[in-house]
Amino acid sequence: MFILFMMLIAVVHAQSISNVDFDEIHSQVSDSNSSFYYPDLLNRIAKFDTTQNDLHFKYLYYGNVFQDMYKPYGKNPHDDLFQQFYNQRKFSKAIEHGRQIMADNPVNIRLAHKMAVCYRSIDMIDTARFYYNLYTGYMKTIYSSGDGLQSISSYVVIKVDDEYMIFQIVSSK
Amino acid sequence: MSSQSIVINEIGTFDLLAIITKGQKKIKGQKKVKALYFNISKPFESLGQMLKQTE
Repeated sequence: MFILFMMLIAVVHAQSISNVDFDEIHSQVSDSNSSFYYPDLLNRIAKFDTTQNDLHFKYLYYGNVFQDMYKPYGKNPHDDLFQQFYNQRKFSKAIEHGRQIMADNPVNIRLAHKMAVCYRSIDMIDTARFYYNLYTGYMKTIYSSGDGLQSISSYVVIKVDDEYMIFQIVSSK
Repeated sequence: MSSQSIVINEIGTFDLLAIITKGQKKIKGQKKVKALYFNISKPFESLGQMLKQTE
């Protein structure tokens, strides 16, 4: 029992949660020589780079918690306008605000999905595909973090809203 | 979703979301998922820091 308790303490201390090693991620996203240096990952997003793989998305998603832009309970001033135009199906207007939100923090799963819908609706298929890749990249990252069946193997999310995205899919299967 | 609760244990902080299994398709050899655990330690830590700063 004591050994088990000490193992749990070690897990918590090392900042590994489920399959996510936050210490290692912090080290990689802060190292300018790493392929996962956070400013470089952001640059690739800004340039609509579609060559990012599952690992890039993992560092982009979980590495976000070490950035100043990480505000899981914050609200962007463009959020309401984006949603308003999106609901009115004024997709070009919605995109203007969506891009502002993405510029502040591109780790936004729900928005990535809606941006894909917006661009698809105005027949900008390549850009729609970019945002859809972003959406699926983040979702796959969360799926890879665990199986969600127990606390020890939970899905690890960096925003409470993200759990509802996963939940909607699992519960509708 | 039928219920949501917060679980705090020695591993971290979790949202436990219970799923209504009635609408789920049966997959041979797999049990229906009744609940999902989400680790929300990072957003919780951030919330704690935010509250500290406003104090």
